Amino acid sequence: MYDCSTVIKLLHPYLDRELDVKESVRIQTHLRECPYCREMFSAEQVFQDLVRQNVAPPPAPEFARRCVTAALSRESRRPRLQRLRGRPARIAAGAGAVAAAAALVIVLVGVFTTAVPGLVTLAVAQHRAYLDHPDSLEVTGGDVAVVAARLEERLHFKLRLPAEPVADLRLIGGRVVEDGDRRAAHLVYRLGDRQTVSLLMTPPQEVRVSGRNAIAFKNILFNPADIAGYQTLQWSDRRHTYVLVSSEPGAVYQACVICHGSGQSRDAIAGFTSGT
Amino acid sequence: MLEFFGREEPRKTEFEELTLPYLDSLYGFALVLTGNSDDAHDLVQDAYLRAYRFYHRYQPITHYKAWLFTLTKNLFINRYHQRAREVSLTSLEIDDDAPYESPRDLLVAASGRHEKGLFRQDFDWAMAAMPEKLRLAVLLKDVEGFDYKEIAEIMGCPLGTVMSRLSRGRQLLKKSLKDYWVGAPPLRPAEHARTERV
Ligand SMILES: [Zn+2]
Repeated sequence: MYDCSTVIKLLHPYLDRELDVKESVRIQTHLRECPYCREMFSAEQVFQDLVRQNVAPPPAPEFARRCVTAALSRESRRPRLQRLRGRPARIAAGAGAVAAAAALVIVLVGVFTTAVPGLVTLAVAQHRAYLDHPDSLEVTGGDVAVVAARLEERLHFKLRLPAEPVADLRLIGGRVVEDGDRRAAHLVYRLGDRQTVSLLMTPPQEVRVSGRNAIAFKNILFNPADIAGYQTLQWSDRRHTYVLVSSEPGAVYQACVICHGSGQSRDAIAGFTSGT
Repeated sequence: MLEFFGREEPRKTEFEELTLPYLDSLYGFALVLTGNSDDAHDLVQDAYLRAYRFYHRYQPITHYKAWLFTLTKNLFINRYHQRAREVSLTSLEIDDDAPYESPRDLLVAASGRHEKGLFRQDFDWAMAAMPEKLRLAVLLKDVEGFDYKEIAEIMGCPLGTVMSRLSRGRQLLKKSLKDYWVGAPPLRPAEHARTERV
């Protein structure tokens, strides 16, 4: 026969229905004869019901739900053979990684035309404005910290940019642009010797993603578009919405490292980062 | 060839019907594991992708919910190597034989809060103050309804550890709530963490 201390020790497994029949019967026998334990058990039961009713975690954000279903859609369209082998091997960090990642994305892109959300149009306009008036930047120089700090004085959000030079990209400078009541950061990079790449950054926005053209790569949905001879790539993470603009084919994809060379949960897009 | 591709969409629909109902639960689980919504988001998305790939390969899976949780936990360990080491240091966990805290006084103290509809936030607060492993045990059992064996598998620890964590977790939850409700200064999270033995 169990004594009170043994019974109390088995209280949780008993209420959780984890005991075998023999043990359960022993507990029940004791409970019939012991008002002290009986009251304890029923109070504990009430408490556990309270926990069940009050401890449910909040529902997943709608954004997470959409990302999951979008990633699954993308995945289901991958050729079956490739899928059976599992996910493509993670591209090793290093000098070749950037080019490899860019090449992979370009292969995925194919031909694209898509409806253009306003932010992309704004980014293209800013890119052209810079090309027409290269002296229109508020702050110039390759020191990321200085440029970011100057722009952040007038922005309502933090900029996250890699502190170290990435691949062939050099920061030229930046400015704050206004679009109605929102403000965005416009950063200008030089890629290689003569290509210019613009990056527009805003706080995260609802981005209308065209299902046919969107590229899901390493957790992020990229939305490419071809506008008036410029190539653009738009995407969002939880911190920012980004638009890359370039007139040279492929340049925007190489430039992805601008945004993914920093940040703490960036291993998800390790293919884009280079040696960091 | 047509048939080859034709099968894809129904299988995706089937997979989604079986697994998406657990998205909220998995997200809550990922939130406890990672401690922030950014990483939880990435973890859940990767878990679904991985689950989908496995789903194609090994079909009959009997208990989807437990399978998804285990997969998420393993993914978490693989990805966050550093923290994973911490999580797997579970083998020699000894029950400290703390005196059993009766819930009776607690329930009396609680009645006022209940009427004011403040219960949920009190529980949220008390859960958040618990050490991660105890919180996980309570979450997996009392919220998600897994049995001990499933919890052991998900958390990657022996059955005895599950029982010990569960009983310590519930005790701690009771104690925090009681202290809070009867007006005693509540333990701060840091103090709770220090009292946990791993
Ligand atoms: Zn007794």
